[in-house]
Amino acid sequence: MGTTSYKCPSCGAGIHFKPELKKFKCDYCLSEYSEEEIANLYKDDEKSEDTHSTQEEVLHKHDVDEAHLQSYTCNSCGAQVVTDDTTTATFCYYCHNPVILSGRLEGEFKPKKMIPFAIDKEKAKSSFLKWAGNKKFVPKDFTSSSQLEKITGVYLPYWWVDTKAQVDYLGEGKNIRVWRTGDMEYTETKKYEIVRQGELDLNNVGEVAFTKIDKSLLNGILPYRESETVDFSMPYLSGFFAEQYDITKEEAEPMIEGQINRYYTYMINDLVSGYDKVDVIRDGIEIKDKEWNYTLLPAWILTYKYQGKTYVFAVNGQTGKSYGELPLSNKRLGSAFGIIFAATFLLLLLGGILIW
Amino acid sequence: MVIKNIYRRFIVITLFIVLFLFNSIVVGAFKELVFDEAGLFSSEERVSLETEANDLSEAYNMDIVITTTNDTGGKSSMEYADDYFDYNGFGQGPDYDGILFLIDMDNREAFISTSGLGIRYLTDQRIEGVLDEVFDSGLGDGDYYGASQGFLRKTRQYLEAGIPSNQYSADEKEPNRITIFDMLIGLVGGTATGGIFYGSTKSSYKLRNPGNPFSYRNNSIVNVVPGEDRLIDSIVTHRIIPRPPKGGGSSGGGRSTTHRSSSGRTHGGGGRKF
Repeated sequence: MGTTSYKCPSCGAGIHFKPELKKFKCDYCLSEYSEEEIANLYKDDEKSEDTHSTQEEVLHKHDVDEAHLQSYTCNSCGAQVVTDDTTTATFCYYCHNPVILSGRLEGEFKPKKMIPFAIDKEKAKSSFLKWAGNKKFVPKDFTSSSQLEKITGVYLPYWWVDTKAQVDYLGEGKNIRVWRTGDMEYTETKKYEIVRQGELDLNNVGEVAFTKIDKSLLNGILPYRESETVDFSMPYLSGFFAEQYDITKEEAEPMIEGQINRYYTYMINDLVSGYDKVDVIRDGIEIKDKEWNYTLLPAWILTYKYQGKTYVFAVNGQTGKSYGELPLSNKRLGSAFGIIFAATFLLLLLGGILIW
Repeated sequence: MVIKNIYRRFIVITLFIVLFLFNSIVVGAFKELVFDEAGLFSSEERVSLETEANDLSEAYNMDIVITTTNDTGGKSSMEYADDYFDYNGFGQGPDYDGILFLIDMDNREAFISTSGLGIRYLTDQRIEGVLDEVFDSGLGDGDYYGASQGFLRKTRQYLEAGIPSNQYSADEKEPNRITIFDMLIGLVGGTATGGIFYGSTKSSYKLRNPGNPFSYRNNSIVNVVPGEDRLIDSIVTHRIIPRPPKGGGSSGGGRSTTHRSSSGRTHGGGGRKF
């Protein structure tokens, strides 16, 4: 398995994807390149590197297998890159150059689609602060900047499914009208036959394909703007972390299936409108086609340790939406409780004197 | 001689007894009801008021008292009037029926205190009516006799009119002091509101599964032939609307506000400064 590091074509330093520019920029010589330029440049190199690293793999892999870690070699400085078993993009510990474990992005692990990062670290920090700033009872140092420096950008794996369905729907709609004339009340019931036939496409129905971060946390930063999805391109990973899926297609299928069925029901309901009451005689949804897309989505992840508990937060790497369980300062909340208690107590005493 | 002496004594004693009885009958029939401690009435005026008050008292079996004072001893007009009524033994029957009219020169206030049946006859509204008459009869101008006459005149009118059909008594709220019970309510209420705030804040900081906010509308293509829905059936039914029975009524104007005097008895009443 190989590693890839994208380097500046001008000066040879490690190059990062900059979300705010939507381009690659060298920190040293300030050259800018588009994703296309970089990808084309490395197209030819990929093959030779692959063979080169296959040898490396033979050399390095066996001695770390027991530790369940795999080692790769940084192609900038030659140091070993030690990673978790699902990591696909990281940084070299020694030279801090971005390292992409391209060997882990092949075959069944080759992502099909992705949404590149659209907000950078600074913006992620500010949207996180904006969200957390509404909460008054977090510990004092929680929103400090040294704390926020630890925020990291990660591409997380998702399963996305595109489906097509044939619809042959039959229903009975009822409209009820009531009016009065003098002492008489009239009720008119009109029944309609509703027929809907055609095709419904439903795309990008997703499930998280990663167990190491709490699913409800990641659901909290949804939705992404699916329209900005691009085909997977490895250079986008340069400068970020990336993870491989550890929930297989088969494991995710029942959940995806449930979602698909639900959304098709909603879509049919949208098609039938203008009735007081609808009885479904036959919903006739036949799902014909399912296409699975292994998709990488961007998120900024922050962890914070408070009173022995680790809190994890996520910021949507595209929209900036933040989510997570906030630590609660018992001191701050306790004093608020005290104030409210005292105020109510005094108010009730005052009521005792003046009213009852 | 001795016998004659005894006879004379007997006559004297009998005479005394008869006189005493007669006297008590007179007193019973003609009770003193006007007490002009402030000296506002001439003796003729006093007699005239006394006669009229007695007449009214007898007709309705309640004590109609008129009193004036220069010094209430620090009491409010209400306290003075109530106490004057209670501690001088006024009020007829078990409920101490009666009405007292006080001209309080100390507080410069005319006050009417009612008790027993008097409370029921003179509702809050009627007391205002009587006070209107009292002031119209010249209380402000120093015509205290006229004012007292006004009181008697208007009171008679109301007594003749009877107890209003919608009369009810309502206890005036007493000013309160902090009790242990109030403290307890405060503690419980404070803990409750504080606790609710604490709990809700704590739970709002927790991670909740937000579900999967997927927008299927943005991620779908609908290709369905829009068809005209066919009307297959139409039914009209009818029913007669039942009329709701008319009801309800109005209230108001019949309230008699009462309070407790220092003797523990219940009084109604009202006053007005002049």
